[in-house]
Amino acid sequence: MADVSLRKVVKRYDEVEAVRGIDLDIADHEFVVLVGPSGCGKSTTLRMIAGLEDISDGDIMIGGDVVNDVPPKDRDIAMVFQNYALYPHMTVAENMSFGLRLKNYPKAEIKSRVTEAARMLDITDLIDRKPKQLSGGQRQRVAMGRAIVRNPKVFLFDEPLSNLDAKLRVQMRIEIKKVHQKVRTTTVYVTHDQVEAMTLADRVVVMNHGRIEQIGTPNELYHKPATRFVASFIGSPAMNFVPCRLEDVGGKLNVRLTDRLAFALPPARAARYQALSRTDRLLLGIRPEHVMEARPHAEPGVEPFDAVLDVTEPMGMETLVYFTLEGSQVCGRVSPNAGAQDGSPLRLAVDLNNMHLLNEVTGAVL
Amino acid sequence: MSTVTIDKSGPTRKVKYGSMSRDRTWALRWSYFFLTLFAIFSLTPPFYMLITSLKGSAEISAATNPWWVHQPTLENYVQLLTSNQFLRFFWNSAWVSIIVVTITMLISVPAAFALARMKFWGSATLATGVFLTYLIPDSLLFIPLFKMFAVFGDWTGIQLVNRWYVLLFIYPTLTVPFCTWIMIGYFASIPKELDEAAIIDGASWFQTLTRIFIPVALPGLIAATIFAFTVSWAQFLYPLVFTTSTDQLVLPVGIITTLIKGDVFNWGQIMTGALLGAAPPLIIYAFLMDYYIAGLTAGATKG
Repeated sequence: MADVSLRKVVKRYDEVEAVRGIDLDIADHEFVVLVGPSGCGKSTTLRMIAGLEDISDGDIMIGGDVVNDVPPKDRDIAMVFQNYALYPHMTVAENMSFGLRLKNYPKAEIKSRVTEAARMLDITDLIDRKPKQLSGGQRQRVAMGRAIVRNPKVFLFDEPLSNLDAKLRVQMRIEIKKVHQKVRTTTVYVTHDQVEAMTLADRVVVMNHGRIEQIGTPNELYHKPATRFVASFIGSPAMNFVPCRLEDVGGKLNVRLTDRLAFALPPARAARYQALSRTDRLLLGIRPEHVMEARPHAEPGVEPFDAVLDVTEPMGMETLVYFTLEGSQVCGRVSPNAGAQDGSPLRLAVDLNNMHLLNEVTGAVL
Repeated sequence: MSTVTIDKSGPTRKVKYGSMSRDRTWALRWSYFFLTLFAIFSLTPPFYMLITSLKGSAEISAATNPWWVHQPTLENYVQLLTSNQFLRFFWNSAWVSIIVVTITMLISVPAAFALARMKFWGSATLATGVFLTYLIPDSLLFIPLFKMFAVFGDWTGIQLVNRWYVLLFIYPTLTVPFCTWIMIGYFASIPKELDEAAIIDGASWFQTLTRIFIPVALPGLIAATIFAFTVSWAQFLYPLVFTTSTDQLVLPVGIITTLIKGDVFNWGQIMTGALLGAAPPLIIYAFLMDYYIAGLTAGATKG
């Protein structure tokens, strides 16, 4: 077990900088997820930790030792790949024990470790099968088993669930979480799926264009995003952004969305945004769950308005409604009993206690 | 709610049931027609060899139907298989081929692995270069090669010309490039993650090759082996040039130099010898055909 640290890590391919100076400290036992769109440098970062890619600049430390020039086999790490990368000519047991056999572990030790890992992953019955006789989910379990038996300092996962169908992915996600609860090995996990990131991670690292946008717990990222990118990347459906500006009306601070639509800010928000310029081009960021049907009684900070719905999407326990404000499409979540229908008007309300205000130019959350 | 209208007009075009299978039938007929044509074309020479090998010399020189045996005899087979000379040719061929196959595999498998996986400066150019050397015809190479071995003999006193083992140096110039090329293609089709997983598991490059790549690429390896064997077994020009003494000859050269005396062709024995000489590759192909095809087509379909 060990902590992992990255200090100003850079990866250059000829002229292109895939990773542009990353600082990251991962504590012992921690489960950290690197998430971001494709090409953001998350996989490259993981492969640099594994030693599969050289680093162009900076330092990587595992357990306090700089491992920049240490070959992968001496870093004491285990990796699970997206396409499983099982050795096709070996049985499940042979696949799992390959690393231990190379290191000449005693046979009894190997057997007990493989048996234990197989039991933990519920693949005891499959131990003598070849990979081609296994389903995708079973293969991924074997790949995890191969990592577990090594008892390494760090687990590295490179989009391990991307090849599985949606239902299996949810199931395997829970399996991975269970395994981590049992073995407590420091884990770095790469995915492009923000749901996976949110559900698995102790801390999520959101990456974009080779840089870290924000590091935080899933709840911090969701409720206190630092940038527009994080705000829009985390959460599904994504956060709504509507152009707006601030104005003072009768000693109160209003946020004006359109000529006809403006909301008075709740006192806490008004105090926070008071110092902002009234002429700045701003964006109102509001999550779909904070745009709901209007309630009969007034609540502080919840402002009603009328909207004409473009499209409705019944999800069963809720209905997603889409309408247009100042050219921006806005998504809201209403009760299935709210009577939302395509093309018809509906009285909605926005909960400004949970609003965000962003600088439209810099994308910073204010 | 909207009313549901049921379209009762039905399909306007008459449905041609079984049109797919009719197309397929015709495709099959044509393919069998051409396959038969091809089979006749390629099987006629061996058939002619078989017929002739079963005839006595009197019947061969008589003006009888060449496609039929009137008095079948095994005389040619008995004579060849009891002749020390013929057996000597056969053993020379067998030894040369087996050793050449071994040398070829020992060189081309690690070479292909290095060129396919260990990305080093110039590896791509080198891989193409390997293939280009294969394109140089042996009829162009044998004169400089002969000169080289002759000069080598003059300088060192080690005489290689007219020794059967000189072929062990020459045949790999034909087999190594092609086998390396086949193996590069095959190794390249193995997912990158497989060797990365092995490396993380603690395997060295050599262990990755022997414990992962060779077992996984076994069909390709067998295809390359068969190819190397066939090339060495059937090689004619090089042994004709480099070996002259009867006890140093391999089968293809031995047959024509000993069974053709001046303008006298011993057709019965020539045909028998050729037929017996064709047997080992034939047997190998028959047993390993599936591997051979899998090996040659693997790079095309495997992701």
